[in-house]
Parts: sequence; C-alpha cells; structure tokens
Amino acid sequence: MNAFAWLAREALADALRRRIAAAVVVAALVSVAMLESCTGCTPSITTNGEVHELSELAGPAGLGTFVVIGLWLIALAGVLAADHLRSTLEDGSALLSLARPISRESFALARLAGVLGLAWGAGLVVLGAAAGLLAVRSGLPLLPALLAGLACALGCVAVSALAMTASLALPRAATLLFVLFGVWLTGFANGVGAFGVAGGWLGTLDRVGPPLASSMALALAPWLGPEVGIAGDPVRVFARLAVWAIAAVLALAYAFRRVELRG
Amino acid sequence: MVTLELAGAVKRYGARTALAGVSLRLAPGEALGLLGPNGAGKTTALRLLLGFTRANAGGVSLFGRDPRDPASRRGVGYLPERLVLPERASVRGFLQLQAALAGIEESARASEVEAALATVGLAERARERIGGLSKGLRQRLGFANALLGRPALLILDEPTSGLDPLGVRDARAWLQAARERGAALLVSSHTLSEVERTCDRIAILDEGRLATSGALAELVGPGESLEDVFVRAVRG
Repeated sequence: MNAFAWLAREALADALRRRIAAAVVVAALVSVAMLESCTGCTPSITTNGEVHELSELAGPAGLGTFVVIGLWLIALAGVLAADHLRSTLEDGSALLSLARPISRESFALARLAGVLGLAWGAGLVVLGAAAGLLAVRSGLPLLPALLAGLACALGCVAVSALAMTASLALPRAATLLFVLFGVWLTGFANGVGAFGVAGGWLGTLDRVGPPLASSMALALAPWLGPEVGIAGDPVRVFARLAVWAIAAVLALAYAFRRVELRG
Repeated sequence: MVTLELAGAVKRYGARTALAGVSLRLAPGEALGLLGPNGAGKTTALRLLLGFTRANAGGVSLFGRDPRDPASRRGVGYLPERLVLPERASVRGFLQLQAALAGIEESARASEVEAALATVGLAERARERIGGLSKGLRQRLGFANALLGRPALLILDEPTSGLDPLGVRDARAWLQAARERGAALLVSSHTLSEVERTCDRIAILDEGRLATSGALAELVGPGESLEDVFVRAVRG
C-alpha cells in the first residue's frame, strides 16, 4: 500500500469515528425503511372523479425521491468536508504527516477521499435501495438510476472539495452555511430551471453553476416516459458537472499548497 | 552537502516580524541547539525548515532542496513540541502508518517499526491504544516516530517535554546513538542543561534575530554556564 492509500484509509477511519457518521448511518437506515414502506403500498388517487393508480406516478415520484436523497447526500459530503481537513490543521495532527515526504496535494486529496468514502458508502446503500425497490416494485429501469448515482457521486466530489477549500479560509460555521445554503440554492435553481422559468441570477446559477440536481434529474428523465421532457442536454450538463468537480479538486490542491501551517 | 540552511531568512506574520534575517547552517553529524526566549522565532525557524510555511525573503534549504519539495523531507525525523497523536490508533498501527509516509520500503517497514518500538521501550505496549498512554509514554512514541527509518536529520522541538528523569536520560542516549551513526540534530529547547549535554553548537534567537551562535566550547567561558551565555545574549 502506498503513502496516499495509507493516508486515505486513515482519513476514512477518522470520518467513520466522527459522531456525524452515526447520524449518517441512522439517517440512511431510516431512508431505506421509508423507501421500503412507500414503494410497498398501492393506493389509488381520485382527481375530479378520475381514478389514478400510484404505479402511474411511480416515475415522477421516484425521480423526485431520488433527486432529494441525492441532494441530501451531496450536502452530507459537504458538511463532512467542512472540517475534515481543517480540524487536522487546528489540532496539529496534520503536521506529523506533512513533515514526511508527502506532498500537500496528497494529504488534502486523501482527506477528501476519506469524506467521499463515507458519503459514497451511504449513497450506495440509500440510492441503491431506492433504485432496487423502484425497479422491483414499479418496474422502473435501473440504468437511469445508475447514471443519476454517478451524477450524485460527482456532485459529492464538487461540493466536498469546495467545502474543504472554503474551510481553509472561513470559520467552521460559515463553511457549513456555505455548504447547506449553496446546495439548497443550486438545487432550487436547477428545479426552477427544469421548468424553463429561471431567469436573472437564479437562471445564471442554473446555467453555469454545478448542476447538482439537474444532472440527476436528466439522468432519470426516462422514468417520466416519452411524453414528458426535462429541459437541458444531458451530455453537456454531465460535462459541466465533471468540470466543476475537477475545478473544485484543483482549487483544493492549490489552496492547501499555499496554506501556512502552524506547528 | 549542508544538511539544512537558513540564509537571511525573513518571516512576517502580518505586521509582526517573526524572523528578521536569520542565518543558520547545519552540517551532517552536527548537533545544533536552538535557544531563545518565548516568541524569539525558534518555532518559526523550524516551520520554515519543514516547509510548513514560506519565507518572505532569504533562502531556506533542506538537504540542498526547497523544504516545500516533499523529497527534501525524506531523511527527516520530526518531534513537534505539541505532539498530537491519533487517540484510537494502536501504538504499532500509528508507527506503521508513519513508516509508510516516511517512504520506508514495504519489506523493511515491520522491522523498522519493531526496532523503533524496542529503542524507546514501547515494544510491550505496541498493541495498546495511544489514548491509554501517559504523557511520558506518548513522548516516547513521538521519539520512536522521529527515529523511524534512521533519518539523517532529527528536528526536535522541546524533546524532553513530559519525560521523567529516566526518560530524559534515555532520550539523551537515543540522540547520542543517532549522532554516532552520523545523523544531524536540530534541537529547540528551553532546557539549557539538556542542550548543553546533547549539542556541540548553539544558536540563540531573540526577537527574530540571531543574538549569538557558535560552538558551545567557545561561547561558554571558564566559570560560566550556558545560562550566563543565554542571559548575556538576550539581555545584553
């Protein structure tokens, strides 16, 4: 095992030891239980005397559920990242590693990998359960869920790397607010943009910001059927998300390289 | 080749000047004691040498390279003043991680770790969690970490902090053994008696400037102690 793998393993162990990890596990289990319950019932809905079976709404409901859980996971990755690197600088534990022939970039990326290990693990459980239940009980195809899962994973990379970068300059509370408000606002802009009504700065955020929700929604569009479309070109949106993820990681590496360490 | 060098190093933190043009050199096998009152710039000098921070002016080199180049730290063992160890890790697990980070070959890691544990007297406690160790034992573990892989340079910040008299004596023996195999030592400390026993040269910093430096034998006159030299250098 090389030095980066050791550092990443240590970072993941640190992430798992944090109190928030227990909350993540509980939240993931509750989410799976709710999904199991929600996809298990078969009620009918009467609208203006017309009866609709819930199975007809499985696509939109599944898409909405998947995107909301995906955004929750992305926010979780950001929250974990908000002090996963910073805390090692504050308590001085990073210095023993950084006095070794280890590059700053390796150290920061290993800490990021630790966060992503936990967030992706939780995502695999919850999104995997959601996709599986929706496939078995409502007959929704799995491939869109897989692509949406990949979009969620990329979103986790972008947001957690940005959160880590911000944490090098901002206090912890400000970084947490930046993450939570940023994910919510971006998701909201993407949601409004999906209906083609986003204008002004919200529209700009939807068009050039990280497409956290829209990338997942576009991947899941086949669940809505051929007659319903979501605005946006999936390839371009995915490419934009990948660019954001890469840029965020590079920003983290650059910022950490310039940080003055207090030993 | 010079092991480490500060050449007119200047470091400012905002309006405060922590180092104002300090020059130091350390050759292989030498032991330099870095002394000075609190806030004199000792820790800043160590930070510069380990690449933790960047000088505003002047040169800093470690084994002839920029200390911010990770390769320059390949032969360095470091013991910080504030030793923060992973509480839940085992003693051996921590050293195994550090051995990997130090770039020790995988095939040699286990033996190097066991050798370091045996040197500092922690072999019997290798399986214990670090959180259960006393301050003195943690400091021994810090030494084991610094000595891993037999580094060519040991940078030690208050190395005897938390050690009992037996531990201090042991630490002196470890450093002596390191010197005998050719390692250079840079020891920052307030414990003048230990510096006197461990080092053959001293540099005294005061308010970010080099107040005096040289061989102990030359600086400490007949009937004088290192404390006298220190007070004279700092208070004039």
